Amino acid sequence: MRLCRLYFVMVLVLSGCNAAYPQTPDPEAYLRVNTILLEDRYVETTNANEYYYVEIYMPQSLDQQAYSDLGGRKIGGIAQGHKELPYRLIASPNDCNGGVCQRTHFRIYLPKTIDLTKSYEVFFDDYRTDTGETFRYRSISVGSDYTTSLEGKNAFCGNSLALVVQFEPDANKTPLRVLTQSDNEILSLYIEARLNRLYDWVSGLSDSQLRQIEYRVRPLKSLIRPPIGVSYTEPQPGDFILTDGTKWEPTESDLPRLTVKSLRAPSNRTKAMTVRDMYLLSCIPTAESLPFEDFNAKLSIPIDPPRELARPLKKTGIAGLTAIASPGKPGTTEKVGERTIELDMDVAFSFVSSVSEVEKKNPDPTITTPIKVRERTTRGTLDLRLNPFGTRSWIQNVETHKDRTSADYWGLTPLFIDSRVSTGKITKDTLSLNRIVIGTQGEYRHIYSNGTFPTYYRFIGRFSNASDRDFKQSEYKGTFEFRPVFGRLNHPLASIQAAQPRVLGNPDDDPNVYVNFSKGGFEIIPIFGGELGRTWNRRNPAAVVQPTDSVRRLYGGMEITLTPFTRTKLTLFDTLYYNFGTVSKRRANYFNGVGEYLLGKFGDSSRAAHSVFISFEKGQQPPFKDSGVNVVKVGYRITGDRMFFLSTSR
Amino acid sequence: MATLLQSEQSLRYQLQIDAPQRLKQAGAGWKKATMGFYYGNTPHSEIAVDIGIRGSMLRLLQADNATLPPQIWNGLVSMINTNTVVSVAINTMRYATAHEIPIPPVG
Repeated sequence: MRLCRLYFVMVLVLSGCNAAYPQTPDPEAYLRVNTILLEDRYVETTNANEYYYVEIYMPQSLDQQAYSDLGGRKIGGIAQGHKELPYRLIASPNDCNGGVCQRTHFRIYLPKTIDLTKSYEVFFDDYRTDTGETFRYRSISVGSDYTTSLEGKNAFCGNSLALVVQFEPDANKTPLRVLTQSDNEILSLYIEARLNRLYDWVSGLSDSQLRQIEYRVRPLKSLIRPPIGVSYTEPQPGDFILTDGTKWEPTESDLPRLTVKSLRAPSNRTKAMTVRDMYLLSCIPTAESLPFEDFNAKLSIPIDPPRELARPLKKTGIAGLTAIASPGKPGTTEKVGERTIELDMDVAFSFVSSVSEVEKKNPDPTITTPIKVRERTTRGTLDLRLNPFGTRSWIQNVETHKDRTSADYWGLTPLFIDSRVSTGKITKDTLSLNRIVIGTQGEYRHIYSNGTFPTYYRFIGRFSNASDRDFKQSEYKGTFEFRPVFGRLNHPLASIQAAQPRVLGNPDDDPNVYVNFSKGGFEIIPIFGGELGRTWNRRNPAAVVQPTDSVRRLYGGMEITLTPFTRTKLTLFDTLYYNFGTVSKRRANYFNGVGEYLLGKFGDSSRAAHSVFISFEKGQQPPFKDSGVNVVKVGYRITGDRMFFLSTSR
Repeated sequence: MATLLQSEQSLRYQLQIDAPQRLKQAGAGWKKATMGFYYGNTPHSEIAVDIGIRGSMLRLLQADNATLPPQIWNGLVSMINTNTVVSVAINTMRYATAHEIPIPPVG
């Protein structure tokens, strides 16, 4: 019973709401430009007092008597804010068709001098309808028939932004202006006239007019600096202090200005297509390139353009031309088998081609003396590190102290492959270390203080099989390594953030942009380790391979990385070996210096980066005795991290 | 479940200890920077971010005398890395606390 009562109450309420909802559409008013056809071209009228007009569409017909008295009796007008403007409301010329007047169309002419940046409202104090009812309409907003916008991406404009003026009558939102066939035709003619006018105007701009167009961009990841000639200091990044002690902040006039080369429609969009599709599309090519980072843009045309282009246009958050992220993952240059595992993939290729004199057997069998011929040799090297199953890691004992956070980290890499090989015979002149190491690695790190420049101690245990490239001598060994990383000696490439006023932005946007830029860095990491193992396989290895049975070595070294600029990195690595397993050649030294230019992320992946490098490698590593590299290489490297499915952190 | 403000305060406290200079540099825009801004962008930085987030979460959980299931810990550290914006990390931490499990009182 209660449910039934509730149902009836709801039906009553809903039907009441329905009755209260106006059945007739709201009045509509549009500001239009008085456009005339002059010698086959549409232009604005020369009558400055009737340059614009407001076309008003009413939902109900005005009483015949009131309609006839419009010339003498004022029933409404136009206002800007609270101020009524002295322009008369009259019957629209479009109201009558074939001698029959609908008494629903009205017009107010406005002069060219009106301020188009203001909003206007039409009102009717005494609108008496045919049914005898009298209505008062307090504010009918004066709208537009079009929208003008800047577009970031448009298939027709390539890398340029696009200017779009769209006329699109929407019968659902604004039904009155397209209510009848006659209204539709009149509006279509008006739109055709305006699009013709706009098309001709943008096509006919001279170079001097184009130069006056203000086209400014605000890169969202760069600082705007004071103009040339202004003296300032910069105590903190982004803090520009002028000589009088005041802080300089950019205004719109300080933003980079682009020179517009043209405002034409693309060549494959004709005037007929523009009219047919009811929109004008203009590309905005510029003499200067658009920013490579995300940016905001503003376009102002201060050369008396058609009304549709009179207001400044703004577009925010436009994607830059390309998004190149600087790679965060540095490559490693440590020696084969003892490079610690921090990345899942590291591949480098290089090729060496040289011409040298070589001795060859004399083709004349009667002469035993060999002949010397010049011959080109091309060889390649591959430096590959791969952790096909990734690294499983655990973090424990996180403790926040008064001034630092400490923790323990455990990592296990079930399988790694680490090789540096080259083509050609393994000789003294080899281009690479020609070693392949396969093994497993476990690591414990005690993080003494976590943070931007952490201090932590790495204890690395590794069990691996190392062999020459041809697998003719193999050794298994256990390795223990200690790498202390001190915060004071370890300041890798870092980013600095500075805030600066956004200048061009939306009211809801953060008033500032935050700019990250890089500051040069350095890393100095000492390394100590030892190896213990046995040679288990020897099958006629190359002469330069040292025939040892046991593996007992100690080593110490240093890795120094300098990053003077964001994309440039110099790494120096040197290790001194002491081999207990042999009588001769107990000491060995290995040096590797690499200069790298970082190319950014690899493809669309955020997990891989690539670079080009030049390296100088000199020295030897067990099990090689005489062989050693002494080679300069130029190559290409790809590094990746967390690429494999088993990489986890707990 | 922690409030957004509690998550924010906990992470800010953590950053104040771990990266005070960076926090000062960031100023009012500290939540708009990435975690990498505070913890660097080296391979070790991913671990540093994990530790920072764990420290912040443990503080939040301690206030509720609660803990998180292992899979939520895993999800949390995989969702927050050096590229994560701090404000997103704060939200993620907050949603993670929705899964907290009360620790029964001892005795």
